[in-house]
Amino acid sequence: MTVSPGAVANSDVLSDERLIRAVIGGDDEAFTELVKRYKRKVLSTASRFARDSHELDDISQDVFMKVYQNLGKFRGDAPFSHWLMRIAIRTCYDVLRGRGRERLSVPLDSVDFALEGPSTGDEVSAREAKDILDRAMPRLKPDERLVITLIELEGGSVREVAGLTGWSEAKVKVRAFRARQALKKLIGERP
Amino acid sequence: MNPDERLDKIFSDARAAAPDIGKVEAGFETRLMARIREELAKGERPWFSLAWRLVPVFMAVTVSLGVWYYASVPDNPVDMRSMITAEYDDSMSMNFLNGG
Repeated sequence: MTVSPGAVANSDVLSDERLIRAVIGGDDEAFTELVKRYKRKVLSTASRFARDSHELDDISQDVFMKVYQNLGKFRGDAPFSHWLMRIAIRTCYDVLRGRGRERLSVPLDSVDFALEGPSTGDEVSAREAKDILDRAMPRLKPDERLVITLIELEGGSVREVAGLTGWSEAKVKVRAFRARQALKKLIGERP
Repeated sequence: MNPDERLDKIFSDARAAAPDIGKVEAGFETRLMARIREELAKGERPWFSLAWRLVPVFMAVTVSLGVWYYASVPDNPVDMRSMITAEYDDSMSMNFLNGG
């Protein structure tokens, strides 16, 4: 089935399923509409794992390329957004595994932990917290980093993370626990 | 502040620092579609789009086979039983001639 260009232009009323059928029918404009709908969600999640904006662009493009190439396999028994995010999480996990655990060029104890104290504004705290995590997270195992990021930074529940990763809830809990232990140890490495 | 509280504070603060995706978001779909077109030009079309494009070919083959079949059926077709029997007779004759 092909959706006419006029229909895609009026795509607010088109469901994801109709757009998907249009893409399968060869309508690339419908795919552009799907990308516009979900790019923020994918970029936001991928940005937790990317090292810079170039890598973020690459990861996110890889996600949508996989979606485009496998759209014919989408059965529609779960919402499209869930299927998309599973692909996004799998892609991010593959990127983390490809990197392995990184050695830090700058030791953690060089970071100034100014999280307490009345003089620290919210914005400064947020930037410093991000800086601490940017340095500590690469030291975690890829599976631990994925789980702790999805739970603590993306606000996902254990059940949601299990659904996105395909791991059991018990496995997610264990990995989250190990990640927390490792992070506490890393952050406690200060002299 | 104990290590657990410290870690929770770090996570809480980091959540507030939403990553800046604006730079990548701008023109993202344009770059993506250009990449997709590039991949397609290299012949890496997804299998399902190829399948859809092959539908007219399969239709044409089906119609041609149908026409050929009806055009090649004889006016007085031999019934199935006599065809099988004739083949059996041929086979027996060949066995006899070959000493089987």
